[in-house]
Order: sequence, then C-alpha cells, then structure tokens
Amino acid sequence: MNAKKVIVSVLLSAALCALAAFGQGAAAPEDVLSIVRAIDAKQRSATSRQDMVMTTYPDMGDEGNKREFAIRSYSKGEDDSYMEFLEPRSIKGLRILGKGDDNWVFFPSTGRTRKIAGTSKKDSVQGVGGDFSYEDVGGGSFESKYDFRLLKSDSGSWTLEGVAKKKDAVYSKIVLTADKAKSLPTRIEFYTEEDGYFKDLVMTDFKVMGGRDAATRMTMVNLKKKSKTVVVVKAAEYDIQIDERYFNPSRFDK
Amino acid sequence: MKLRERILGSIGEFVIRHNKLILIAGLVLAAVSVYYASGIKSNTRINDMLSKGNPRVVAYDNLTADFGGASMIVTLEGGTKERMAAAAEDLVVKMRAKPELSRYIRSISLKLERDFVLDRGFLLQKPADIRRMRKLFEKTSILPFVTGLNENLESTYTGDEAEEDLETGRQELDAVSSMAQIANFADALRVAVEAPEALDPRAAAGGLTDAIVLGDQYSFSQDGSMLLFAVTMNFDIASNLTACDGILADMKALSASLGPAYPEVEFGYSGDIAIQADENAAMSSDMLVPSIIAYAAILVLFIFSFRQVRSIVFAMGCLVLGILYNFGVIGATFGELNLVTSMIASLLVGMGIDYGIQVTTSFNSFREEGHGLKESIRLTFRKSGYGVLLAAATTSASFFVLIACGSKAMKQLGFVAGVGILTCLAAMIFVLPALMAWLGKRTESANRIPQIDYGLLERFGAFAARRRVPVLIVSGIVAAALCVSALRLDIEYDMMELEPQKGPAMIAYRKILDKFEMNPNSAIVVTNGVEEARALTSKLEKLSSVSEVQSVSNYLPSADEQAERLAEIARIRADLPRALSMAYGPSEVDALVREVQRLEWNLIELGDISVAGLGENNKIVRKRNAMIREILGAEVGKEGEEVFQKLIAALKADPERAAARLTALDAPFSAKAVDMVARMAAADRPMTAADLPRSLTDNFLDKKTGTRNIITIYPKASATATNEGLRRYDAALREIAPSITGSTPLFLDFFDEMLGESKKAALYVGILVLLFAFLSFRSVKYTLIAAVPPVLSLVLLFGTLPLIGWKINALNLVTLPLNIGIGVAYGTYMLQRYLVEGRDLRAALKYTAKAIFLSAFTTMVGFGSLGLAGSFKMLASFGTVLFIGIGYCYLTTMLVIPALLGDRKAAAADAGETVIEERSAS
Repeated sequence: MNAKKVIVSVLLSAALCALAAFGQGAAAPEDVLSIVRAIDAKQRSATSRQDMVMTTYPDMGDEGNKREFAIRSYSKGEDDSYMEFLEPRSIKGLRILGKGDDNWVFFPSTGRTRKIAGTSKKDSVQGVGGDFSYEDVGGGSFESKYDFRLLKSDSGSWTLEGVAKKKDAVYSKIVLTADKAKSLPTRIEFYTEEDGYFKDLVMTDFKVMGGRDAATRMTMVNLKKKSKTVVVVKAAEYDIQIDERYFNPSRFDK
Repeated sequence: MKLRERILGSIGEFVIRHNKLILIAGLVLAAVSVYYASGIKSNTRINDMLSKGNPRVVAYDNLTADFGGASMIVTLEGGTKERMAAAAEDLVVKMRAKPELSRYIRSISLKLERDFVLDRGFLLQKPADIRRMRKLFEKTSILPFVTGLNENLESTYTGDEAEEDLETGRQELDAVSSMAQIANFADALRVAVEAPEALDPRAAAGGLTDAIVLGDQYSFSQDGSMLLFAVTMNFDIASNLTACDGILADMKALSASLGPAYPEVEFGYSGDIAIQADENAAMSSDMLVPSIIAYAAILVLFIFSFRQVRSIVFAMGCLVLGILYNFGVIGATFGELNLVTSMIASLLVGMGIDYGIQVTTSFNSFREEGHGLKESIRLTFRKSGYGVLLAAATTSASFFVLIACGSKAMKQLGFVAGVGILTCLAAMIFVLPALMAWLGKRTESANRIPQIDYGLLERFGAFAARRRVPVLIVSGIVAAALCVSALRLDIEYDMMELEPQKGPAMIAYRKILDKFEMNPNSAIVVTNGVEEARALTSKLEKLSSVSEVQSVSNYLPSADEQAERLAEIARIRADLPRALSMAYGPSEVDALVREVQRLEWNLIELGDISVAGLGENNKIVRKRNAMIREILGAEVGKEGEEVFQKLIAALKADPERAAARLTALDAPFSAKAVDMVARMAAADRPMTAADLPRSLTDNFLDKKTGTRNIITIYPKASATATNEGLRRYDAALREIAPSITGSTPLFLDFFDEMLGESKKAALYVGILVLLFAFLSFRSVKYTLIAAVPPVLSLVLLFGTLPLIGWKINALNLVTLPLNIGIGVAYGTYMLQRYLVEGRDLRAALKYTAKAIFLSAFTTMVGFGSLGLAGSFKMLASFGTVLFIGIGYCYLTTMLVIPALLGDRKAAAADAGETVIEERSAS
C-alpha cells in the first residue's frame, strides 16, 4: 500500500471516529427522553383495576408489628382514583375517591361521605397509604414532572436522575433505575430539599397481568421514620370499561 | 499400700479414736451456724446480681438514691367510674393518714389536680388547640356548644381541614382523652335531662363543664372498667426488703376496711412491692417445701435400699448438719440469698447426700462381708475414701471456678455451692463415721424391711457392655436427632413469665396488660433539666413500641412554646365569651338530637381513621367501642355503653320535658363555661416548676436539686408480648439513651450476662473436670470417657427442651456448668472402681451401680422437687432442667460408659479366651 493511501485511510478512520463520538454525544439527551417516555408509556393506561394487599410496618425492624389492608382500586386517566378497603373487617367498605386535588371518604360505619379538600401531596393517602403519599400514587408522567439525565447504563438497566421541574414539587429529585428489557422502573430513590434521601421504592416480582408486564410487589421505605409499606398486587386489569359511578362523588358511596 | 490409702487410713483412725470429740465439735459448729444463718435475708433484685460496672445498674442505683423507686400499682374494679374514683380517693386519704405507710410514700399519682388544670390548662395545650378551644367556647349555650364540638372534631380529625394525624402514642392518648371528655359530657347531659325536678341546675351545669374541660381526671381503662394509680416509695426495694411485706399488708388492710362502704369494688396490687411480696412468699415455700419433699423421698428410698436403718438416719442427720454449716457460712459472709442461691438447700439435699451414700454403701458392704464395725470404717476410708474425696473435690472445684466469672450471681453461686459441697463432705467423712463408730450396731442383724434389688442396674450396664456396637449406634442416632431438635431451642426474655404466676400481683399485672394495653413494667431515666427531658421525651414518644411517656416536660412547655400559647390566651382574655341563655323548644331539642347523632358519627369515623395509623386494636378503637359499640365496617359487634344513643333516647322520650330541662340548664352551663374560660385565660405569665402541684413535683422532681427529673416510659403490651419485641424495645431505648434503665432493661442485661457467664463457666468447669480426671486416671482415654456423660447429657438436654415446650431463661442457663460439674462424678466413680478392680467392668458395676443410682436419684429428686413444688417459675425451671440433665448424665453413665469400656471377660469367654486380671496397685 502506498503512503498516500495510508494517509487517506487514517484520515478517514479519524473522521469516522469523530463522527461516531459526535453522534454519541448528540444522541444522549434524545436517548434519555426516549427512555423516560418508554417508561411512562409502559405505565400509562386509560383505566385500571387492581386488587392488592398493603402491609404497613411502622417500625421496619419489627416485622411482627404491622397493619395489613386488602384494597380494590380503580383509576381513570391521571387524576381519578378510587380505593375500597376489603379487609380488615373493622374498616371494610371504607372508600376513598380522589379527583385531582380533592378527596372524598365514605365511611360505611356511619354511611356518611366527607370531603377532604386541599390535602398535601406529601401526606399519606388519607392516613391509610402508609409510606405511599398522594404524590406517590397520583398520576402524572415522569416526563412532565422531572428533567432527567443518564447516570449509568449497563447491560440490564438504566439509572436516571430526575430533577423536579417545579420548585414546589414534593420531591426535589428522584433517582430512577429501570430494567432495559422491560422498560419498567425497578427502583426509585426520592429526595427532598429538607431531608435529602428520604424514601426508597423497590419494585420486584414482575408478572404479566391484564396483558401487561408490571411489578406486583412494591416496597416503600421511609428512611426518616424508619417505616416501610409493602404493596402486593394480586390481580390487575388495564384499559377496561369502568363504571363511572366509581369516580362520581355523589355516587361512589353507593 | 499407696500413700493416699495410708493418709486416708490415718484419717479413719482419727475419727474412730476421737468420735465423741468430733460429734461435740459438730454440734457446737451447728449452734454457731444457726446463729449466723438466722440473719440471712432474701434479695431477688436482678440489678444486685449484675456486674457493678453495668451502666444500667449504675444509672439505676444513682436514680434510686435520689428518687427512691419502689412502686405499688393499685387497681380498682367493679361498680361505676364514680364509685371506683370515690373508693380510690378514700383509700389515698387512709394511706396518708397511716404513719406506718405515709412515711414510705414519695408520691401518689391518683389524678391531675382540678385547680392546676383550670389555672394552667391552656398553657399545656398547643396553640392550635387553644384556638380550637376558643372557637368552641365562643358559643356557650348547650346546643351551639355541641355544634361547635362537632366542628372542632371535624377540623381536628375527620373533616375538610383535618389537621391532626393519628400515628404516635401521644396522639393516640390525646384523642382518647378528648373522647373521654365528650363521653362524660354526654353522660352528664343525659343525667341532667333525665334528672328529677329537684336537681340543682347549677350543680348539673358544673358537672357538664367539668366533664368537657377536665375529662377523666383518673386513669381509667378504655372500657372504664378499671381504675389504676401508682404509689411511689421513697426507698428502693433492695434497701428495705423487709418493709415490702408490711407495706402490702397495710394496704390490704386499708382496702379491706373500705369493703363495707364499697362492697362492689375490688382492689388489686401489682408493681415492685407486690411482686416482691409474691416472690418472698414463693421463695419461702420454694426453699422449704421442696427441701422437705426431697428429704422425705430420699429417706424412703434409703429405708428400702440399706439394711442398716441406723446408717440411713445418721447419713440424713449429717446431711442436715452439712447444709446448716453452709447456711452459717452464708450468714457470716454475704448475709443474703439471691434468686440463684436461694435454691441451695434443695441442691445440697440432692448433692450433699452423695458422699453419705458412698460412705454408707461402702461401710455396709464391708459389714456384710463380715468385717467388724471399726474395721469396716477403716476399710471404707481406705477403699472408697479417695473416690469420695475426688468426686467432692471435682464438684466443689467446679463450683468455685464460677467465682472467676464476672457476674455477681455466678460468683455467689460458685462460692455458696462450693462451700456447701465441702461442708456436706466434711459432715459425711467426719461426723457420719464418728456416729457410726460411737452408735453403730456392733453386730449385724437381719432387717425385716424389704430391700430393693439393684442387681437390675448391674445387668443393665453389663448388657450395654456386651452389646456395645448397637448401644453406641443408637446413642449416636438419638444424640444426633436431639442435636437437630436443639436448634429449635427458644429463649424466654420476659421476666414476668418467670415470676410466681398464680400470685395476686401477677394476676393484677395481666389485667393491666389487657385493659390498658400497656405494660406496667416501666423503664426510667433521669435528666438534669426540663429541656433535656423534653428532647428525650420527644424521641421516646415517637417509638412505635412505647405506649406512654410520663415526663415533667409534658407539664412545663418550653419558653418559646409558652410565649406562643400566652399570646393565644391573651386573645381569649381580650375577648372573653359572654354568658348566654337560650330557650329550648321541641325544634331545638330536635336540633340537639341531630348534633348528638353527628357527634356519635364523628367519633365512629375517628375510630375508623385511627386503624390505618395505629392498628386495629388501638386505644381509640377500644374507647370508641366501649363508649358507643363495636363497629366492624358497616356491621355492628359487641354492645357498648351507647352514651349518645342513650342521650338521644332521653331527649326524644319527652321532648317537652327535655326542652324545659335544657332551658333551666342552659344559663348556668353558659355561666360556668364562661367562668372556666375566664379562669383558664387568666394565665398571663410563663409557668415554672413552682406552679406545679405537689403530686407532680413529688413524682417527677428530685427534692434536693428541684431540677433533676425522672422520665417513666411504659411500653405497649403488644410490643413486649414476644421475645423479639422485647429485644427491639430494649434496643430502641438503648439507641436513644444508654442510661435508660428499669426492670425490663436490667433483666435483659441479666440474661445476656448469664448467657456469657454460663458459657464461660461451662468452659472453666469443663477444663477443670478434665484436668482432675486426667490427674486421677493418668490416661487420656479414661479422661475422655469420664467426660462423655456430662457432654452428651447437655446435647440430649438441649434437644429435649424444645420437644416438651420448655425454654432457656436467665436462671436455668446456670445449669450448663452445674450439669458438667455434678454429672462427671458418676462416670468418675465407675471408672475409678473399674481401674481399682483391674479393668473388670462387672466388678465395677457390682460395687458402684447402686451407689451411682442413689447419687443420681437423690440429686434428681433434690432438683426435681423444685420443679414440682416450686411456685416460683424461674426456680422451678432451674430444678426441672437440672432434673432432666442429671437424669441424662446417669443414663449415659450406665449405658455409654460400659459400651465404651466393653466387657473384656464376656468378650473373651465368647472367644474362648482367658483374661489375665490386672489389678491396679491401688
């Protein structure tokens, strides 16, 4: 091979490498957004119905001290949610309806429905959500709430850091780990300005339910209170027809 | 003849020659022992058995020096709440009036003084609560007031702007307190509506305002069926053990004297003093009754085991002397018996008689061979003396080595038991032969009492020797199986499970656990000032295992808090409510009925909400279920007091009459309410410790400094119901403040210490035993064989306990080293004789089987009697575990050792060979 050809080959190779590197850098933000959108899409559903068991441990070191609740929930879009307690017997039939920022509670013991307005997003869901707050169970995509960047990518997962878009967001930052094959989160760390690393959500036991892959076991640990809540999904259906009465404040208690 | 035989022979000669002198000396020693023994006290305090360096012991001792601390919890049941309260008030008056009692009392926590609540009540409330109270009392007529009460509840818990969470013990108690106030108010209103015309409306109005402002002044259980109050003494239990019985007796006499006035009210007692009294009673019977049972059982066995009745009587008499000498030493040294050493009499009955058995058996066998009285005594010393001395030396040394342990409990046990072995040995090798020499029968005579044939035991051992392989295989399999079972061995950390269970104090304790969902065994800590107490109390109240924290900081808010509250109080003062008067007609009565129904619904819903944060059976739910009814979702369970439905029924029964009553009541109620608010709003300066009533200062503050104060922490009954829960609770307390002390933390430390010390002691004893065995046998093989029974028996023991549902606890852990020290003796006897008889197993069995059986049996009876007769569970478990352990030592001695040794003669006979006998030079 003569010298000229060598020089051209080297220059071409260098140009190709530069292009590849440029392409890598230029592609990164887009990839992260794609990842986040893929995760959001996987979790999005027009409607859902779930039967679950929620176990709260006020002291996560004490597995014997726990409160167990069997719950049926319905959701529609990002704003409407309905929960009904099936167990324990003492609160069987208690229902909570959430529409946006407003919540109603139906007490089967008295037959009354009370409106709970202006609840703080960071509060536990009507006190019965354990370590899951309204923010945690509420709707809204990751994309709409956080600006993400990629922290790490390995063969099985992505780790993304999301900074809150709004100043008054409940969580100032989240670190989300998602399974590449499933495009589903496996772990989310929640941070607040005040407490720093505040809560930890781990999602495991992925199964196909209602035609989609989803985590059936979610464990939320509150690092400040040293408490934890475990939600186990027993059955789920998505994008199904749900009676409107479940999301109607004057009918959900019937 | 070996040197040791000569020495022992000389001792025998001495005893024979100076038998009367020895007997006189023995009696004199007995008299001296009685003198010293009469001063022995019993002390069951756990902290006195812990190492002095234990920080919790140090904290406890410092605390009790300033605050005293012995407590008495008094419970009242039966009748209405008013009757129980009245009975409690009368009892307290009587207590204070009785000098023999009042001189010991530091504080009585019966109720919070009314005047204090009215003068300082607002300062004890958060600003938000003061604002709610202000809003509540804006309208002081009854109907608007009840409406305001509903709005207050809804804004606090159940409504649009509910502010209050229900997660912590403090929030739970505050909610229950509010519910109690409302229930009392509803009840008082019903009484006023139903009352006869003669009822003074002003008195009724006073009752209404007191109910809603003061609530339950006394400490009632959620269902209102039990009242409880605590009496704290100015001394610590250990510093005045003898006072406890007297105090309890006086209390019982006082409550009995109230019987005619309050026949329906039943009094109960728990706490340190009552439990100590139960323990004293149990220990007295546990020391005496089991010893008598053991003694009687042994006597009966001996009568049917030995031809010479006199020698039995002499042996038993010498046993009593040996034990008496030991108590004399205890009286002259420690002067007290603790939980561990209190069993020493029963232990020595079983262990001390061993030496008498060996001496008597040996003596009788020589007599039966035709030897004269004195010659038999000489031969006993020469032939059996070494074995007896060796066994006693090994056992006593095993106990003495416990003195090297760090634990005070182990040290005292080691000393007392070690000395006890030696005093019993001394009695058996000096006094017993002296008695035989002086008073023994010169000629053998026929005994008409049928005798037990112990040949079966010899044949048992011989069988094991002939079938060694199967015996060893089966033993191995059983040991392996029980080894696996031992992995399931559970531990008892709850000291209350080990107290005398049938004692009245324990019965009261269990009722308190059930009715108050609170463990009355408190933890305590002292802080140097109110702010330190506040910080600590705040952390403690957040623990999910804590039911209640009593702290002076609950009654003395911080300067900032008081400033905020004073500002709110000033607003109330600037715009005090006005007294109103409202006329009631049927429509107003209807409106009131609706509001009362709303009130009921609000409280029902409050209970529902509380389930999420506090669990199904929390205090709020229990209070709701008691004052209304049991609610299960849309269903109804057990009946409750139906305070609201009864009020509604009273209002509806005759609306015209109800309206008239309400009209008459309204103005005085309004006036009283306004007066109360005015009084409460008069607080215009921060509160100091000087403003606290005496009941609080006596309870919380150190009299010397006035600033050091005590915090009392009560755990939830559910949190301490399991071993894991107890450990977690203790760990949580330790993490917050290592100096938190009290009976539960101390007992857990005691257990940990005993666990560590027992393992250490077992190691020391094991090494010592092996050393003694090696020095004696001069053979590794026989040393290891001697070690088999104690080691194997422990494996079998720990495997058996889970199968019979028994647990290891702080006291029966001590059996670990004891089992080794005592159990090794049987194998030692057998092996020693085996070697003396020239490795002839059959001869060894012939001479030792009966003696080993009697030794083991008497020891088992000595310990086992504690298990059967002992009402103090801790001591009873000790006895039972040792009974099983020693039983296994005996079985392994009679089965495994012969199997290991083999029967050479039988084997040779089978093979058609002759065994050349090798008699040892001894």
